[in-house]
Amino acid sequence: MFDVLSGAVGDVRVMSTSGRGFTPEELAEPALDKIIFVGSQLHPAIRDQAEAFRENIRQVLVQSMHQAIRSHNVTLVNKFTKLGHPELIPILDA
Amino acid sequence: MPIAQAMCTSFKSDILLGVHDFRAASGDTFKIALYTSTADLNANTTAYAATNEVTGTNYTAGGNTLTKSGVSSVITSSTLGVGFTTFSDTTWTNATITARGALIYNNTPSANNAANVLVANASVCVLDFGSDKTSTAGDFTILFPSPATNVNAIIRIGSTT
Repeated sequence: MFDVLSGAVGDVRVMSTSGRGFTPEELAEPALDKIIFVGSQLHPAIRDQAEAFRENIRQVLVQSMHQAIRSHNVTLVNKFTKLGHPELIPILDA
Repeated sequence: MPIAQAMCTSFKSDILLGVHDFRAASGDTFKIALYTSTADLNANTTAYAATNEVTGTNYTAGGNTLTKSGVSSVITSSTLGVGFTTFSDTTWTNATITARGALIYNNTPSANNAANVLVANASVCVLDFGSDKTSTAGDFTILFPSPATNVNAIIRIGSTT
């Protein structure tokens, strides 16, 4: 007899916003969890290095996402202009 | 408690009957539907139903289709091990909704050959968010455990102890 069907369900987390989308800083956290996991059982010296590496990745992610937003806004500025609605451009910086 | 987090009992028997296919590329289509706090969901839930499902801007009945990650396994000893699977995070964009929990279900299950019946939208598991979660003209994201392992993945079969 095999008792293999001991099933378990993991826990999810919910992130939500009101009146806006997620910021790069908010999106960086779950992205970091996917990129690097720092185990609590690590040797302190290795854990310190891993956490420093994780912080560096966080900064790269946030800066890159901010740059992506700015770059996308440039694309939108061109689309608004081509469609004859330059008055919409200021809202991109709001 | 109206929503009790659990792996559905029908899902456990459905696994043995070959109803579900979690392979990433060729498997079944799994979806996640959101529910209000008045929903009655637990291990006895056998299939998706729209009763007490969330309604709101940019939420479509039936919920979002999930992106599968495939099936993995970890052998923890000569007698123990765990098979597990997970999904990519999913988001309802620019949504105005309030949800207390969710149901993951199979939108394209195979027929239950033993009983020779097809249970449409067969349930997999019930998720309890612990409290109402709300987005107002914003994004509503469900984050699955990451990195998914044999001890935290959303769906795990087996035991490590």
